[in-house]
Amino acid sequence: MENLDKNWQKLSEALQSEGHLDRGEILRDLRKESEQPLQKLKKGVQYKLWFSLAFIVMFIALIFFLKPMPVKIFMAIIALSYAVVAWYINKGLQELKQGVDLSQPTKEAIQSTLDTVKQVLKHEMTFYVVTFPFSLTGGFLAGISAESGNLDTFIENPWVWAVLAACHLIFFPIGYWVSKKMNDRAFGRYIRQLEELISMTNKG
Amino acid sequence: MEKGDREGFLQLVEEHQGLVHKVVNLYADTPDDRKDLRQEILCQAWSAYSRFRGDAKFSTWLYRISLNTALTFLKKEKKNNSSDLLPETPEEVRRSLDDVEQLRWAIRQLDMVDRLLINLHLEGYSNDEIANFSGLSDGNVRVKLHRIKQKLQEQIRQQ
Repeated sequence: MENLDKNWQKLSEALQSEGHLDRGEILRDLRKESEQPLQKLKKGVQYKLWFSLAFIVMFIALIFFLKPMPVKIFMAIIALSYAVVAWYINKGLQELKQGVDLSQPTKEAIQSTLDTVKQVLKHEMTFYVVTFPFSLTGGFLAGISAESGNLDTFIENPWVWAVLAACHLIFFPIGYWVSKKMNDRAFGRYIRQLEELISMTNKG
Repeated sequence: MEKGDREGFLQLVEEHQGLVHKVVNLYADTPDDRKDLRQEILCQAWSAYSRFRGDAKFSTWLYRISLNTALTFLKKEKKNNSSDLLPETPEEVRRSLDDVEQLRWAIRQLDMVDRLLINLHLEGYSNDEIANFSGLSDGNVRVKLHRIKQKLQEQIRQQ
């Protein structure tokens, strides 16, 4: 054990001297953006917020352009639901901007990082589940009313209803599965690494 | 953050940069990972600096951030698992390393949490302080340290 301590002293000195940063290099490092998954998530959430705001503007514009009253009402409902989603996303984004406090004890820091990543990914899936049906139906109705100027085709023809229902049934699960796969591809390795660390801290 | 804060931060980091290099060189394997980890530590420290109230010493605070960043750092995927600098097998190690390098090699064979605990222990932190630092229970730290020290000594003895 005495040897261990002595060798550690030497190793510690060697490790500390393996590298030197002057002020300019420190500043350059600080200017670089973090490339950690949390930063990527933050960017992803930021894009989603812009995406939702653009959709709100688009659906409000459609209220004025599309004539049938039921479509106007539906567009208003979609715009409102996107506004709720945008508020929710913005709340998550503000939390992410504060970042994980890595000056807290290690176990809590790892757990906080893991919780934040999982929470954002959960929000993403909720975003998809809430917005997809509205977007699909809205786009569908807008398409029909843009072509004929009314919704008669939709209301009178059961086949059009069936096509809309089929689109929901086919594309919703596919989109959900693809989103989950993409999230797992982007962040799965990181989540598993953090979970492994948590289990290491719990091991006796 | 005001300019004065930034100047103060830069000065402190310059003075205590050895701690950052120590963590980077012990926890990252490749030159790319080391550079990324160093940048990540400095970014994390800078973003947390507004919360630093001076209750603890700056060196302790920076060390904590460095270690926690190293643990939660996502390394670049490697084409293979070997380290670029350290020999792969104990036979090679036996032939080429001195005592200090053997210790470095043995520590890097430990998992990340064990590495953190032995690192703090060898730095002279008490079990109580290590428990506080890591968030593990006092008993858990004691048991783990006992096991890690046995493992380390066994590995070094084998060489």
